[in-house]
Amino acid sequence: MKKRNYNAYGYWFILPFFLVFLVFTAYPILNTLFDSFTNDSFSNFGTPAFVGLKNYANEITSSLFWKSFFNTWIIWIPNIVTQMTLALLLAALFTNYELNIKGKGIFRAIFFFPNIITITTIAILVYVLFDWQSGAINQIFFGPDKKEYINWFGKGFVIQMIIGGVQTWIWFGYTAIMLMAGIQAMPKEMFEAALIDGASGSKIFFRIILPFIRPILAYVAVTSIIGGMQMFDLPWVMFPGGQGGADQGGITMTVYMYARAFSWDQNLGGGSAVAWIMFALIAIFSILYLRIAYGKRSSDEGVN
Amino acid sequence: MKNRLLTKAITGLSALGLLLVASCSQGPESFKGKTLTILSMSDEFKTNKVVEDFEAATGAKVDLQVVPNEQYLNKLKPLLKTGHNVPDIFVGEAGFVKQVVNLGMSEDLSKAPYNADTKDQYAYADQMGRDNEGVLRALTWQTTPGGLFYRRSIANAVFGTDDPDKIGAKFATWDDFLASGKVLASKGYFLLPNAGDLGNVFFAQKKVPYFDKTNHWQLDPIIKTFFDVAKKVRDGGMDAKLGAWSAPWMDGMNTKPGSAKIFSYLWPTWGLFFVMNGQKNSIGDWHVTETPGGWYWGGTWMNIYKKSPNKALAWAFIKMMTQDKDYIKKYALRTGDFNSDKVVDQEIVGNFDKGDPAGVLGGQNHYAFFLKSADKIDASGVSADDTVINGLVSNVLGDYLDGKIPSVDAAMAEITNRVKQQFPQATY
Repeated sequence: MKKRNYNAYGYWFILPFFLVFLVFTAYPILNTLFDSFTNDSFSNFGTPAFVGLKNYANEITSSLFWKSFFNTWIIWIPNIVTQMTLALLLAALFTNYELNIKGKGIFRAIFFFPNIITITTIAILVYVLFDWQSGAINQIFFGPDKKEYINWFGKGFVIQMIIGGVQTWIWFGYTAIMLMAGIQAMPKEMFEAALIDGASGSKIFFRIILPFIRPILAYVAVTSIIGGMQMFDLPWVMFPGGQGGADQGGITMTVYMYARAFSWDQNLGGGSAVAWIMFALIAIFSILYLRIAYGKRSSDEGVN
Repeated sequence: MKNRLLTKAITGLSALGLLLVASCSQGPESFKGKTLTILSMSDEFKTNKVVEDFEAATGAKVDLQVVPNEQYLNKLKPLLKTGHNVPDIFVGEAGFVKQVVNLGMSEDLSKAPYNADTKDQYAYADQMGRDNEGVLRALTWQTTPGGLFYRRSIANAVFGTDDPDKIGAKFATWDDFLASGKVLASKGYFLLPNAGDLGNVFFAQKKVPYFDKTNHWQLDPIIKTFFDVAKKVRDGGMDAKLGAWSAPWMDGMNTKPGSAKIFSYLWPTWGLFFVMNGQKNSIGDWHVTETPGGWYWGGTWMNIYKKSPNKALAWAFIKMMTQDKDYIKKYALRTGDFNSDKVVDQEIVGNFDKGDPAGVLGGQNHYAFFLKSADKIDASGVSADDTVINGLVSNVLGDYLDGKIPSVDAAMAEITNRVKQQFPQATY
């Protein structure tokens, strides 16, 4: 009785993905790594020469690199705090057992809508709304008196808040939907039991819902860290050329990386080094976050 | 034996005959069926019917590919590096032409079979197309001198005249410029839409490039003058603080005479043809006069790809636009575009006594004006990194005008500081 072994076919089915992955992901990543040890330049076509760790040393000691690092965090932290709060509030509201809001689907679509708009359109919109002399924001707050108008893009900090705010607006819907899905996956018996025991709405939220959706919160937080630290399109379209606007506030790490490679001194080796430094930083922060978030949980389970 | 010799002789003679016939047909017929690929930042070759003229004259097809200015180098360089799908003709805009001609990918146009003759061109047009060794790599058909385009309605209201020479006298030096600006401000008008717009004038008037031949940083003192003048313009309420190229900035040109608030805009030749003639409400309300010192803004230089299989065809195109005086004249008369050929320009200047074709300048001969100001252009300060560093300087100017940088010397120091961050390999 010979049993046909179908296992081998599995390898054929997953082969296309791995081929594409090797060619379009693995190879460029490795190429960037090798490039970061050379003086490869975008401004000439000479053969790149090996320079060892010089690019890494230059970038780590560059004041502008660390400025871009802090810029990125200043943009991201208020964004994630506001975004999470808003998303949790909405998720709690829409999954509330007692309130039982109708038309969840329509609301989900409305919240998700900002995510669909192309970033270039949003950049232009922001540019027009916050324009110093003729923007709608100034007109709404200060009326026709042009002397009172605020030059929003005149302060690096305000630029960063605006970028962070736009990010919140784009992503709060996605985050809310993720959290709602997580909450709806919870067994209804938990809620019924809590209600019978007389738990109030906020107690249910903080003691039952939050701990249960911890994995989803971790997922959202980590993907937000990764996405936030890669923030490029909005600041680049608003301030092309990598000059970053007032106080160079719009220079995020990815803007720095791109400008180093293709704009400023067109140092491809330097840009590659920045890419790998960013990888290391993002990895460190992601691991740190997971340690903090998951570390607690495993100690809880230990007690149980 | 005899037959073999005869066969050889006949074969040899017929081969020779074929060669002679082939080399005789140097005319347009030899380009039939070929396609010329041009990569440019604008589609003006199509809209100005240059492509049409070339296709009719040679029987070849032209594939004009357009990439926006900001992405042009990003598109061109990978093509050159891989050698794949490289256009036969690629261009360089003034802000980065020195990068393009120094890539080592352009033909030497002064040598055979091109033997380009630039003795009739403006000095700066010739100089911009040369690489660091002085070899001619690119040619331009345009010259883009700049001027102060002002509103006649406002000039009449404030200065009592709109005559370009009289108004020009009021803007002859930067002190005059600021004094006139004060007068305008006192009557409730703005001199400029944005003080930062002055950058285009000063950047073109640099006498030294940002980095010298040994890659040492040098900041031309005229940048300090730029900051001084711009600050006085801003503090004196002489500018409308509109973001360059934003909608309100564009609208400032399109207001009807009588309700216009902004006295002047700084434009080169192409500003007249590509921007101002679209401002329908103000057509005819403009005149142009000189700023302190001549300047240029933009301009496109054409290169032939060193490994192109269509070099002769590419040269035919470039030759038509830069060497063929009959075509240059025909093109200029049709479009009003200002050329790089001094001789042709002087010949045809009288044809524009009724003004530019679209009537923007209300009958003023724009050609005569550009003829005068083109001679004043000195492009010795052009550098390969102009686009990036000019942007950097403009950014620092923004912080300086806002009062974030306390003094003009601190602003110059901040410029050097930022250049150090962005160009760490240079010496300072």
